[in-house]
Amino acid sequence: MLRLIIVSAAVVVVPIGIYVASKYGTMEEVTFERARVTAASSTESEQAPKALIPVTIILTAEQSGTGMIVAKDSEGKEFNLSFTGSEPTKPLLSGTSVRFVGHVHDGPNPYFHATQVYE
Amino acid sequence: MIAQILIHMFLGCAVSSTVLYAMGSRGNANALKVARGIFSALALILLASSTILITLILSHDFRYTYVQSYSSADLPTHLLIASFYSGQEGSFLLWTLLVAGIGVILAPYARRFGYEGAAMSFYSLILVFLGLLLVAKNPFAYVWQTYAADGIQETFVPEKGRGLNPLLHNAWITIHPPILFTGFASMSVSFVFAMAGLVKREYHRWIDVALPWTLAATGILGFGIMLGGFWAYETLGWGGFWGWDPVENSSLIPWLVSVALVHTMLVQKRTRGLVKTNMVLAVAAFVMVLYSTFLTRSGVLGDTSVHSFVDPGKFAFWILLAFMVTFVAIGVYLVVIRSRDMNIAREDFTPTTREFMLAIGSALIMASAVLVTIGTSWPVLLEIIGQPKVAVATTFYDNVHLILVPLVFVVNGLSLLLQWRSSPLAVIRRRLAVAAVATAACTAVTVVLGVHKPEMIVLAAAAWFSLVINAQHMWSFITKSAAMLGAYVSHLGFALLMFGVIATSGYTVVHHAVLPQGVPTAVGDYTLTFAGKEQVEKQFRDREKFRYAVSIARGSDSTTVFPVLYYSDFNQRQSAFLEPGIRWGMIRDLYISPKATEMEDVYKKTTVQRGASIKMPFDTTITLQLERFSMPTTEEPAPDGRMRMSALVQVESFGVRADSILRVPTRISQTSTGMAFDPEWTAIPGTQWGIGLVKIVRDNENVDQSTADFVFRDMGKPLPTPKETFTVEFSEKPLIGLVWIGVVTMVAGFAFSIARYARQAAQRSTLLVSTESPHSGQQTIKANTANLHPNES
Repeated sequence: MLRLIIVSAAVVVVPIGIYVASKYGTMEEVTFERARVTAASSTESEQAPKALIPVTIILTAEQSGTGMIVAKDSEGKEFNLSFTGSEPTKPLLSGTSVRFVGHVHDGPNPYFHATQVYE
Repeated sequence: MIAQILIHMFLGCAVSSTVLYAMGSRGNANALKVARGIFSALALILLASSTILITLILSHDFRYTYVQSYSSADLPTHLLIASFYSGQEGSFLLWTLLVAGIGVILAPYARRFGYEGAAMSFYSLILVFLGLLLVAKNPFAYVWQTYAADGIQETFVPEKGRGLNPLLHNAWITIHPPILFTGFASMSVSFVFAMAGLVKREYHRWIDVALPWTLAATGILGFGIMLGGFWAYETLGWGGFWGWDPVENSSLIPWLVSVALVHTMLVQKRTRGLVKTNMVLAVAAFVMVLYSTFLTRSGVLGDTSVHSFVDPGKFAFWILLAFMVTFVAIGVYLVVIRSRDMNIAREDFTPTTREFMLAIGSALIMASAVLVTIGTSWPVLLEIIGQPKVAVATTFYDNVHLILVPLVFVVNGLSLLLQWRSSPLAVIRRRLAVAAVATAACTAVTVVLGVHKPEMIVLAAAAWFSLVINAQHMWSFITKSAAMLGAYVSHLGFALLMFGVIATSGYTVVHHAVLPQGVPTAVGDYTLTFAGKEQVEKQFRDREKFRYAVSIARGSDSTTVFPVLYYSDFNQRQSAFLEPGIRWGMIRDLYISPKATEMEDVYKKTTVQRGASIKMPFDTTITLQLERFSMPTTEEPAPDGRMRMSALVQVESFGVRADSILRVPTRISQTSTGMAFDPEWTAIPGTQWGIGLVKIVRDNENVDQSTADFVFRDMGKPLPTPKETFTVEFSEKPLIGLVWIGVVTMVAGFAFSIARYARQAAQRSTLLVSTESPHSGQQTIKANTANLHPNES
């Protein structure tokens, strides 16, 4: 009986654990403005919450001359983006559509500090 | 150079002792003798290497990358010593040193039980991998070696060290990591005894040998985890004692597996059941140490943890992976090939026995370990399937444990109500009724005291159930045999810990407060007053560290706490370093976590564009025209070395232009948020007024668009002191002391049990030594077990 209980539990715990974790460990795609609003409403004790923004690159960091990428989100809003993650396999060229993960640095000149990039 | 050679010598010795101990386990007495000598030598080599590293740090030898990266000349001695293990390389060295040190004690202990060859060969293999990590992450690399690609020459010696992260500048850095690493290091002992048991086909005896060590490892690691939580709460200003961060979880997971192992070992010791389970758990406990190390030190978590180590490089990554895979493979291989043997004494437990409940309890603890592992590994799992790497929200851990922890308490209580082997139903009913009534009464009191959330009531009821039954048992044993108290004391501590968690996580009241200096501000039931600040630790030149005096008053009761907020060059002043101010209390802690500080603007600024004119605010008969700016290259630097710029202003009084242009200088320094301007007050000729330049906004494309911000004051009056506003998070944390008391009680319980089982193991080893044949040992041990206390084993 003990064996049956423990084996059954072992079989059940892992998939249930993964299912529950998936409910707590996913990130919705947002716009830059939405990420700004979320960052502004978070408490000061935390870093601004992470956000996933799908973008189209307008100007590369080199082209913009500011060291920052200029990107456009799904609502067409342009914003500055600093990417400090590891070098992606495909170059981040003008016109490329990718998804960036990072957080908003708010203030007079807000920008998105991305640390991960995905296709 | 010598130290680098020593690291390679250590690796050679570890490989040799692995091979020689393995030969010794096959009966080669000479090999065993040589292995002992080599093992002692490797421990001495590590001691020498560690002494060299400490000496290099204490003598500020910045030729070495590690010394330059983690220490500086202005650190006090205790922090210099802590620099030893503050980086990835040094912490590997400390871990290796502790494993070797424990090995020196372990070898003669294992010899007494006839396990030396087998156990120490596995133990030495662990040191081989640690040695490889030390070669990959060598703390004795020179700066010129590390940065050879940047063209750094051999003769280059950095002038100063980067220093230790200011967050680590406190006494806890000298206590917490060594204890935690001792826990990590000692977790390998039960693994090597289990492997030795499998090699020698001694599936029961290894339990007696390994149990005191498993208890010690669990107790030490638990204590180390608690110290980390206390450090986070008391000094780091994180607001809580546990944040479910991957680095915290990486210690918790092996601890949970080890707790489950302790309980299943006790079942096997008593019933000879769960043989395979114990082997698997002994492997799992050690492998989880390796897996957690891999997660937090290989860089796979990326930025999803606030304090995991940075990417160690590909070589170290693959060694960490090989380390883990090798020991999983060894464990799985030995368990599988001995699987048939181990089923010889297989028996099933009936649900109304203590052993059944202990097994269920261990399964629940393992479920907790599995779920924490899934949560911690989540970013890696997402990356494998090509999704953005995101950590699970901490509520995942909270919510799964709101189900698991009450079950663990109930099963713990039931296991103690039941007897070994069989329990008459009448006895069970009577004991259960008493415990249920006491639990109901205590839970009712808890509700009356203010615990109203349903999930917290369930958790409290379960904790009371366990506490009541453990207290009953403690009471019955306290006069008979204090040595038997260990388990009950530990369980009691766990219940107390959980009451602290219920109170502090469910009922902490948090207020956000903005405190202008000198102004009493009502915050909840309290009045908070920010009285002023004082600079401390002036010896450090990378920071101006201030402690802020905040008085907390309610009625006639008043106290002052001193939270700390400062910026440091260590992180280019990008974010503030914070330390909380705490008023410790029996019922509640009052906790002030600093958030931000802002200086009041005492002067009204007036912005002027280049070429434009303004009327002076205090005297409209005076007109000022901003002619242009001087360049820093044409200005003498300020006496303190700061760069200078000036605004050149044409003054006009009653329509009459002054003969000369007025030069208004300012001192400029670079900060993380841009340029900071410190005005040099300049008297406007013929008036009592002074002018200061507090900002220049330069437009390089169109210089006429450049602007300056000016401030004005009466030069006959002293400079007004600007007032500061201090923003804080003020919390009342009820009964948080129970968390610390609970953990200390748990650890004390482990200490009782270690003493008890070490004594039993010593008795058995004495009997084993007195018998010539190892085969007769089993018989002798059985005879000895019969002489133990009827409730022992």
